[in-house]
Amino acid sequence: MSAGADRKAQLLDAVRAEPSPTRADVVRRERVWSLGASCLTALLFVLAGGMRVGSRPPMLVASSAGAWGGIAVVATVMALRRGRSMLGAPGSWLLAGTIAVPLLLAVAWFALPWVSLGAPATRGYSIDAACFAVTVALSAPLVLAFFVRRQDGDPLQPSVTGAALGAAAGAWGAVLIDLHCETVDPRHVVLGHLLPVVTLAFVGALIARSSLAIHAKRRDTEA
Amino acid sequence: MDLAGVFEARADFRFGNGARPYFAPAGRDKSVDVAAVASSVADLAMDRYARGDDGAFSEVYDLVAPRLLRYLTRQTRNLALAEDLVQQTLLRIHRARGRFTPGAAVFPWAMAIARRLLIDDLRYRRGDKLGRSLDEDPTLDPPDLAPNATDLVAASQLAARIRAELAKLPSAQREAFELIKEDELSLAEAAAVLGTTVTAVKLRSHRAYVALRLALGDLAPEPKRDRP
Repeated sequence: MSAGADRKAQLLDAVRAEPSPTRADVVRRERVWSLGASCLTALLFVLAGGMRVGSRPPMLVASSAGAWGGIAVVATVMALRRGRSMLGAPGSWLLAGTIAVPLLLAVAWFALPWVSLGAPATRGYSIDAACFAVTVALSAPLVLAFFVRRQDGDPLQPSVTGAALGAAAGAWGAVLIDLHCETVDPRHVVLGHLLPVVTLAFVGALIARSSLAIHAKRRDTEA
Repeated sequence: MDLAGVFEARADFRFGNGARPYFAPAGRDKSVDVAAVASSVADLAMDRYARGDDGAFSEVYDLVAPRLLRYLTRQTRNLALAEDLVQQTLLRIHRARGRFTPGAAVFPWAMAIARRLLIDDLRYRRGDKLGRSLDEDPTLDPPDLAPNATDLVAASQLAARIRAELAKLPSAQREAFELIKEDELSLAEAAAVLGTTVTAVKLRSHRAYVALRLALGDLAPEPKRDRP
């Protein structure tokens, strides 16, 4: 048997010994993960107190949630969709999109006439920290589900992809915290609702360095 | 005659490992069509494999592995390492088969994985010699000397000089140039493999071409002069 045929036989043996999921299996698994993560996020949202309009004008709440929801959808599509390529968008586009997510969320919030309501400024950072923690908790199941969808790895820019996944999940968390939190103080929105998006983008980049990055099997170095 | 024409005329031989010569113009010759057809067949085979046809992986291997081996051997100058990385790349493709997008191209994906594995391996082994050179490796097939030994020696010298000039180029330019000219990837595919834009690849490969043209200009034949 020639060396080439031998290598091929070795690989085919390895492939037979390690069955991999087909496309149908993957689609089924992704649906289960997406549904599970969505249910868990919804459950956490209800446990945190659910939607609370409070003294806020309902139209303003709906407008804000709609705008942020739109940004979250775009961020999710950008992070997960690969189009007809297995390699996705160029890293520079993905990075620009990731940076744009929290900025667009901020622009969308400040473009609405929240400030004209004259809400009193929040005192202390405990309420900011509480909203920060709730936003991260609401986003966590989605981060997990998004990473499962990209678990085949990213050979080009794993950190950027991870950041995009984190930002997309964070954007959904921000939508939910915006529906829940009655505070309309700009500082609180920045620290409690938007900072988690940035934080999750960084966390996503860090996680991706180990979970999405492709590493070669270590060989003994030749003498 | 332009540089590509010179290379086509003077480097018209095949390397022993089945590689096409550097600078064979990746434009409109038959070999490019063959590569395109092979890529298309590989994409279809990969799609069948993703759908659950286990036998299709053998076809994917046959179509993808030789091109990957050629690319990795050129990059590493170490056949054993290149073979190992080809196996690792194809094993990763097998593991991720369920995520293969219908209509996607398998070769740029495989190339990107191979490139990443290579970079990771080189980083790990940094400081360690990468093994024997391609020329010293006895496991490589020797060039076919049957047709005309003199031509082959000249072509071999030419190839060596081209390799030397290529090695002097910045890695980003060299890689873009080789992916297009040697591996016959389209600009879009090369951009995907390198994780950059088509414009950037176009620019890098053009700069490489200009640099090589300057460095190897003496290979062009003297223009014919009319005798008085």
